[in-house]
Amino acid sequence: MSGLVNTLFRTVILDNAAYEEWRERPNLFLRGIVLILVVSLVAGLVTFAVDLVNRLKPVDLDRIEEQIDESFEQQFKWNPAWQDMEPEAQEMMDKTMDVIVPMVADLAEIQAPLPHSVGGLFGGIGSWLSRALSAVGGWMFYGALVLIVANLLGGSARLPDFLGMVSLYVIPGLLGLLGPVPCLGSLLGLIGLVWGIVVYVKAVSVSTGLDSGKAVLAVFAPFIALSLLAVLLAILGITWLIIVL
Amino acid sequence: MNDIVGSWRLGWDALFFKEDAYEGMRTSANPVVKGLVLIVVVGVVIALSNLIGTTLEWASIPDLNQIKNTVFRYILQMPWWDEVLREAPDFPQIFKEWYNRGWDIFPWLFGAPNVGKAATGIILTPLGLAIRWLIYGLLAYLFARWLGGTADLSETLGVLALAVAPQVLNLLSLLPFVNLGVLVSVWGVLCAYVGLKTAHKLSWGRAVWATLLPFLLGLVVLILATCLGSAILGAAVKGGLS
Repeated sequence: MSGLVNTLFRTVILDNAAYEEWRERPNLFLRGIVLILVVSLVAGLVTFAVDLVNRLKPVDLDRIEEQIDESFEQQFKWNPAWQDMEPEAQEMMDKTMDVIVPMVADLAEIQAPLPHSVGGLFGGIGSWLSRALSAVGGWMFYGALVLIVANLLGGSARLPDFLGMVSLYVIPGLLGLLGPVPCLGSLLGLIGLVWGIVVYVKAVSVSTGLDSGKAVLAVFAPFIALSLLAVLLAILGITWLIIVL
Repeated sequence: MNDIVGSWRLGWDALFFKEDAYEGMRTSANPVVKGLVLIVVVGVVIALSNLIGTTLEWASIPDLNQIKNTVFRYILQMPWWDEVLREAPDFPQIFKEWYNRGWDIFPWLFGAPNVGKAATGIILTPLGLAIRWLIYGLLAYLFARWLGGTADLSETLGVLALAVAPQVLNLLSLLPFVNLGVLVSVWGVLCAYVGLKTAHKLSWGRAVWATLLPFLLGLVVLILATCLGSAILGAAVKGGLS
């Protein structure tokens, strides 16, 4: 176990021998799945805990009222449309809020067949697991596209081995554990993302035999192609709507 | 029983892209029957787990009818309600009709748990999987042969039945609110790719095309149908306005 952890740590600092060691391990694809799941679950622990607490605590009406007031203040401060609002419209909005707050209170009183705490626990665990499973889905989808480009650029690797190798990119994502910390969390998340991309490029290079330049191209080409496709589809959709309507 | 166990074992190996599993299915005595058995068993098992998960989800959320009635009661107290009523006396009836219609559609659109629908899945899930398998299998076979593949239709259907293996991940829906996202679909497509590549002895590039062309064909048909539908709708709207 300590040998495995040591190998994984050394892949993060881009040690060539560690990548070779990882590649030689049996059932690389299964190891990749486990690695992505474990790291995603660990990285999401704090978010899970915060989410769970929010789900389990009772509805705080005063807090909701405060939040609504704060958002209104922000709108009046920054939104020109709100600043020019007629006094009658503003009065109507205030009266609407007077209705909405007790409505939220009544809605919060509606009971589910299972106790609120059990439902909250199910919801929290469900979101936590779903995020980890999405990470596995994203890893497979993007990995398959990168492998196509890598093959087109002259590299070669078997699909399961390739996916197992590039799963290493997820390790720097452990920095996401501190994601909910204000300011620092976002910064660490960004560092984890960039570091993860660097590990991905290295893993592509090792598993397909491409040089670093081509490996960078293989990693970024699917992202660029997908972005262009999305823009193209949006333009086509809007054009079609203009023609039809 | 041995057939079912054998199919499960092949499905498990296929999940991890082991080419031997696909080759084993291709060379088996009856790949279509074996594949169909696997699909039906997987379909029924995941539908049962989905039924349990959906029931737990339903029991974890407040009654939607009560929410609907509570919101409506407060809408009647909104300051704008009386003003609208003065200007359009028949507004409440029209509003209530649309409100009810919205509550019929939106919870369903946003995935509110529906135990009845989950129960029908015990029949519809294996049926849907089998229909998808047959249509995709036929198209993939035609494209693979066109691209120089060597397997026959029953061998192709056999290996593509193994692409249903990732559906077992839907067993996780036993836990309420777990969403698998694109995982099952992507994994299934990758299994289909390995299956077509192995059975038809195609190069990686041709196998990618054979795997994706049925989807691209489906996409083109969908886009054409959407264009036609929106053109008819647009013409109807214009006609109505004029």
